[in-house]
Amino acid sequence: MTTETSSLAGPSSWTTHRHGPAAGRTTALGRVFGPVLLGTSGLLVAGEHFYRHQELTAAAWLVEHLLGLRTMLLAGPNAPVLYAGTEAGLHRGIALTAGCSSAMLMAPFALLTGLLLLFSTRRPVRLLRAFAVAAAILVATNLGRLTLIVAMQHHLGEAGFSWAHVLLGSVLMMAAALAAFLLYLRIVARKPAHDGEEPEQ
Amino acid sequence: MTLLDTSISLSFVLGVSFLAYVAVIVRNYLRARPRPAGDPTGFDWHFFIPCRDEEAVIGATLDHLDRYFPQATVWVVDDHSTDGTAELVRARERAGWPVNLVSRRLPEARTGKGDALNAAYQAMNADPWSGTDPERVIVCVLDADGRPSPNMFEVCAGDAYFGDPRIGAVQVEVRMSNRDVTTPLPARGRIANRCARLLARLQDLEFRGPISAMQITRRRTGTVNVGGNGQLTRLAALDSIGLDDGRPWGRALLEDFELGLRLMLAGWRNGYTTDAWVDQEALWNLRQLLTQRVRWAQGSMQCARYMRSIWGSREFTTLGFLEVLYFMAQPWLQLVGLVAYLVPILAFSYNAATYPRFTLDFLQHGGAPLLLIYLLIGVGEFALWGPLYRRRCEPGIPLRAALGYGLALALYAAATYVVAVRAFWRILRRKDSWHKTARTAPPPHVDPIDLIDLGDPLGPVDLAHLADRSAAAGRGSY
Repeated sequence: MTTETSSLAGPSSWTTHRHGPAAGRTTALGRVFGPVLLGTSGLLVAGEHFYRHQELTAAAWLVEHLLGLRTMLLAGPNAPVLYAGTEAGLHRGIALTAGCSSAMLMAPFALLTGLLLLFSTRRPVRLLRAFAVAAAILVATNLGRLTLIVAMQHHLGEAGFSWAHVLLGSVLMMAAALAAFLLYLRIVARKPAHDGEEPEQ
Repeated sequence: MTLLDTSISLSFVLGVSFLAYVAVIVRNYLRARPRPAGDPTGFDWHFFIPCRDEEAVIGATLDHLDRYFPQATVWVVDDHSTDGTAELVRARERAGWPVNLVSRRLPEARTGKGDALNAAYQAMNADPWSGTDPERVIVCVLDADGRPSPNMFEVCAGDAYFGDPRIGAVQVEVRMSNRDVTTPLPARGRIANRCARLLARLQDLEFRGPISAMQITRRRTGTVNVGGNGQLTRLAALDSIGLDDGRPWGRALLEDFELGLRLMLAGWRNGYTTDAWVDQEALWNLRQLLTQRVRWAQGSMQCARYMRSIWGSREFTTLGFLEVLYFMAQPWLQLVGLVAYLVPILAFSYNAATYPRFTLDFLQHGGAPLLLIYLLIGVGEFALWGPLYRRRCEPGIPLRAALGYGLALALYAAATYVVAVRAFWRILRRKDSWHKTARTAPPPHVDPIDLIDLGDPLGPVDLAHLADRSAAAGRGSY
């Protein structure tokens, strides 16, 4: 190999391209979805109260259809509250606070994916897929967690509610977030087939 | 959304992302296998050893190199030493050893390790031999107390390393030469010696455990970086980033990390191996260690300016970009994490004090096991390195000791939060000059007790003070 003398010279001759920083490699898909994902991240944070209401509405639907319980959703000033029970009466309400919502877990994924889409990359579809999978895991698990809490409250009373909310739900969300992270990385890291990115060592 | 809500969410995200990172690097660490060695005779090998007052160790290092690497040429950069460093080198030069002394004198000297290495690079290029094909010339940067393993050239000449023409640099594993010293501080009591021994062992564990695992993972992301000791670079790679101005090494506090980034930006790949290693001295003093780590953290923060270049570079894969981003964000994330972790803990403590019955009810209904799980994970993700270290590096140590080292590593890692805060504070105050880390080994003719007593008082405050004086006099230091 001929030794290059410019400050950015190197063995790029193997890869048959010459370029410097800011080579403008962002794909069209990246230019569209990068800002969209960054905006989504911002919306998830700024509009998390609205998101929580929608999330609890979805949970109420699941409780009605999976558990066959009657539900009532109230839009509290700080958090939406879900009441569930039978015709005989409703149990204590479950308030969905910001810390219990999947919004704040999805926001970092949206931020990261938006950045990566703008960063480049010749694999935007893969990044979007990774985000979709991670987001789906987080949303589905949190809905499952909320349903589980209602179910345990209904069957086991206050103790069931406490254990499901404090322990089971937390562990479940931790496992889900871990799985989402690892799957996200796995999808992004998968060896390229035909997107032109350099093969990894 | 309240501060508490934000902190809970942030701490959860930071905690889980770190756990995922640990899971990934442990997996790759356990899967790493030795790679075939190569023929070192196809390369010309050179050592660069920057020295400033290194008479305590440089003689023994040169003897080691002469014994195990007689084919190599050594370039010792004397950065205006005031002790007998230069004389020790000259004596060997006169005796016909392949050793060259590159002298730097004030006011040009003591401007940083990068400058010292650049001086060696310029001296080597000015040498008549320099007509050799730079593709076949390898430069190894060594600390004055560095002891490379005898197989280093064979390993690095292998097809996975310099046998592959795309590889620009290879970092070998770093080990602590004094990890088995039983009485590191002879003048001190048992507890001081136990603490010093533990500190040395933890540094060995850290370099051969988590740091090694990170580097092994970077082989997959294409973002292996190089350190300041046991750093081998192809001359053609150095030329590609430094031939114009004769300065391949930059002036960042982490000049080694900066070099690695610049090589990657220039299209070179870097390798990492645990098949060869370099032994260096561990620090026996916690204050010195913290000072060293603050410098590293500050250096890492300084390298944030490269993110823009990395952002636009085609030489980084998506995953590689992600890895570099995560690594360079670490000190900043620790600052954020400090707040994010502390707020929920403080809120819980406040509630426990103000509403004890409510807190007790919470603990009795799942709170206690949940906190236990958090504690187990928080400690476990560090403690697991003890048994892993025993399994892969030091099978001779008892399992109980390995578990103890792992637990101690969790405390050791907690110190990084202090480090991040101090590094950030220094950046805010625009302080970026440092005194070099003091050696723990005594010079051959000096009573070791006296030397250690002299070295110990150099804590962060004193070092910063010295650095300030040095900077005021127009001289940086490393």
